Amino acid sequence: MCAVIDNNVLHESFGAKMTPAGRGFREWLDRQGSLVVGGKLREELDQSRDFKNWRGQATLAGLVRRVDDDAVSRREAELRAGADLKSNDAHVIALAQLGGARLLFSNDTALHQDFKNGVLIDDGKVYSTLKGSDFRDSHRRLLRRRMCPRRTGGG
Amino acid sequence: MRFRTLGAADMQAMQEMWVENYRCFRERQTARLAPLTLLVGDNSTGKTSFLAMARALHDVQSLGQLPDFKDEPYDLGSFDEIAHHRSGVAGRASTFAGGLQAGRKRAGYDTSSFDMVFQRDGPSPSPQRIRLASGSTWLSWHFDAAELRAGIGEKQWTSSTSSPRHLANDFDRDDRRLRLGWWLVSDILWRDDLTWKPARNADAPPSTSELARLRIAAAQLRPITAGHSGRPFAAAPVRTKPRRTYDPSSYGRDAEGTYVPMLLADLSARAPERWGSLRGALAKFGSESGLFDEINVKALGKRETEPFQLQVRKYSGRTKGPWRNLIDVGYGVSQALPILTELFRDDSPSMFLLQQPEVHLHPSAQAALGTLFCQIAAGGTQLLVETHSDHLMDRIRMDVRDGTTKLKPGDVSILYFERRNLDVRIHSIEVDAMGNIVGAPEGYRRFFMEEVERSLR
Repeated sequence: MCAVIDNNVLHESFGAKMTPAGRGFREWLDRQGSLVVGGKLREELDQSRDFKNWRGQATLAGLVRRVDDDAVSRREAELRAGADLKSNDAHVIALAQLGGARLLFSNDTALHQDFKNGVLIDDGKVYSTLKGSDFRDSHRRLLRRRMCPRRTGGG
Repeated sequence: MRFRTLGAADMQAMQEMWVENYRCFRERQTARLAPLTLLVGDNSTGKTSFLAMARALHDVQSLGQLPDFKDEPYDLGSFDEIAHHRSGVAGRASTFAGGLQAGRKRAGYDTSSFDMVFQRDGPSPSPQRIRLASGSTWLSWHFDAAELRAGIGEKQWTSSTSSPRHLANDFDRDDRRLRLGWWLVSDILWRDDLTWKPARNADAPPSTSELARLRIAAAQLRPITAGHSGRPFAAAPVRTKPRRTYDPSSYGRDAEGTYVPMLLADLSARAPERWGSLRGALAKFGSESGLFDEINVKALGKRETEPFQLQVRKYSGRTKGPWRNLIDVGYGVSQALPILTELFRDDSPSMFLLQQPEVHLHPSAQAALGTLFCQIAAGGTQLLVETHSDHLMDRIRMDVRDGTTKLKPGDVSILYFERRNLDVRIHSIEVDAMGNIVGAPEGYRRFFMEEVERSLR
């Protein structure tokens, strides 16, 4: 499964103040998920020492799929020029498109709209704690879905 | 069909290896080998056994030698310790096998393969069958039946010969003059007394053209790892302890690198150019890894027969520190020295089987070793490295990602050895151009993430 995590919820899954839903997402990542990182979002997420430390080990473990920063920037520019975006997070959509992510963890409602726009992300799903940070069945159901396209050799 | 042709530029490296009913491997386990292959997994999951089989197959196919499964650093014991033991009524396997595929796949050329089945002969393993193949053409020698079998496509034949003693099942394992592998099959194929019979999908002995094709195949199947000079260097997981003073003696390669101080002393006294080159390479790595900046052989007398010491020193900027005896610096230096020396010497073999080369090294030196392995493998030497070092693996991954090595993503293979009940499975994992680990099974993720998960509790 492939996911993207937004900077606005990073503290819910990484650090000393994890929320139940954030912890659920993180445990899913550690056990069976994959996180796509690259471009500007990677730089933002790497500001968190907890995340950066995790990313190092998770990359070695095959949990993190790094996408070329330049490719993300180019795609972002294309999106800004031609796509109907509700959010100002073209870099997140660009990353999800290039990395094949279909699950977004974010509390940005404008970005939610973009991620659910089938023209931008095919069958995109959103994991959010806007309605509460407890780990609900709706969260669990999302983490049971296959969100990452298969590629040669798995992943 | 075109057969492989051998040339200096066409380096023959092992591309794939498989084992079956061997040690902890019950089902056939096939592993992708690359110029740089990393073997990872928990303790006692067969990584060292895998290296032992790699050397055994190399010994037979490239050198024609009967493999010695007790030869250091891989003392696997007798047949009973080597053949897989199945639980319950299945008991111990009656045979075990290994095989390899070598050569570069190029358009229009067939990949060559070699495999061997071993059976019990008293307490020791003895060859039961060897088989060579190129594309759809193959030849196999069956020791018990003293029979050569051959096939081209669907057609198969058998042939018998007035079997000399050493070709039958009373094969004399102590006779080191005998050459197995290609030499044996090729020798039999050219015998005048060979009597062919049709077997599967053939109604007559091989025609003149078919026999010629088999002989051409045999000729061109000549040691499929022939590009590899000599026996692979197989390092022990723990290298020899340093000594304050060494007495000159004769030397030959051994797994613990006991000979290395004498080799260095010999080169420094008799071959200054070679010593200068080796010394420079050692110092370069020493500097990059933070271990030392210079290495020296200090003679304690004027004659070569007198004792000597090994010394290293570090620099601080332009200031050179004092020479210190090898025994007075961190253990990591003496543990790494045998492997570094073998990697850098000008007559080094072109295949290395290394067990935990990182022992006693600081994480930054472990990482530097990763960069060195990339450089060595990019130069045409095949490395199979059993490691428990995240730092070493991570450096290799990053060097490939950042293009600081000539190694391409496909030139690195990670083999993850995963225990499942009483058996072990081998997973071949790749590194892509972004340094991502591709194809990691769940067990591999757990292997690296358990401590991280624990920190969440």
